[in-house]
Amino acid sequence: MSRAAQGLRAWLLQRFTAIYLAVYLVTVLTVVALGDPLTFQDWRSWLGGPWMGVTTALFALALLLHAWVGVRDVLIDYVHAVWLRLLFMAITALLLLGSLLWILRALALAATGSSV
Amino acid sequence: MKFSLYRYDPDQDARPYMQDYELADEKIEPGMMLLDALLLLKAQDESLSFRRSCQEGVCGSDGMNINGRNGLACITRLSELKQPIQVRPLPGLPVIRDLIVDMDQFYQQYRTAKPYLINDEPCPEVERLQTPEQREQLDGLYECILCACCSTSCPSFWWNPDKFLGPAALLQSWRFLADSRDEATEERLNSLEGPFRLFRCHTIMNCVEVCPKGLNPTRAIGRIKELMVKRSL
Repeated sequence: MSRAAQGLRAWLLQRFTAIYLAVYLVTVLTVVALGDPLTFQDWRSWLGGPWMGVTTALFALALLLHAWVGVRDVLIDYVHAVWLRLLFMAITALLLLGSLLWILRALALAATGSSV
Repeated sequence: MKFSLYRYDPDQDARPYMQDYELADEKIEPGMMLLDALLLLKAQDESLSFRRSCQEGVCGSDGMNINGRNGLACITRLSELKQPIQVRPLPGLPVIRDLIVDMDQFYQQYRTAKPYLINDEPCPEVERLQTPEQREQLDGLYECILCACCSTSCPSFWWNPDKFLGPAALLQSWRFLADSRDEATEERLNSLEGPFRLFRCHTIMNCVEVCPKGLNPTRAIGRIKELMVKRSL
């Protein structure tokens, strides 16, 4: 990885994802709070729509990238043994990737309307 | 007036300890600074060690941790301090003795920032002139006295003093990036790339909080990042 990718680009990535996370969260929470109470079926068809499906998938991706830069920062600050830091980073990466796949699967199930 | 001072002589003491001192009230004069009191205490106990020079906030020698906050003893009023006044060495640097710390790591990072004008153009007949506006860009940057109060209050500098430049050195980085006469912008920005030298700053702003000269290293760091973004576009 280039030094720019670890420095400036990681920092920018964290800033831009933060903006998307804030906009998405405020919008979705406002819509949910102002609308009628949702049943499970409403909820599912709402998330299954193409608009919500794509923005939520992007939200999940932004959240995980944001978390990756943040956790990596904490590890660089506090874990100084290189092998230990690499181990923690690998565990974090696996957890985040697993979470992403899990969220995408849930979204795909909602979109196709099939049961879990 | 009561004091509790950090004492450590590596040749004699197994570990550092806090020692209580008392200064008779009649010795305290209105408007007295902490350094004046420390000098009186040193007259009582000459083994007490600390650095000081100009005694008026210009040389930056007497940076110390006063009641938990970094500052210069010579411009800290006794009347504004809660008793017992606890004085410790600047945090995060190795202690040589009592309130004296080893500043090597701090100066090493200052060196890394290349705190001098780089300009390979042939020397002009007169000085390299600046417009008043160009000169204004350096206000709030050139006033730094390198007392290390900011860098030693920065958690990022505590954890990575060998890799992170710290607020003082980064303020100097920006001081030369902002200088219209300096030509090494590319070289300077390249050297700051990567996860450590600049990007360990998490905008904690302890540096701004403690700077005895009222400077703002966080803003300088922000300007460096801004310039990096502009360059990469």
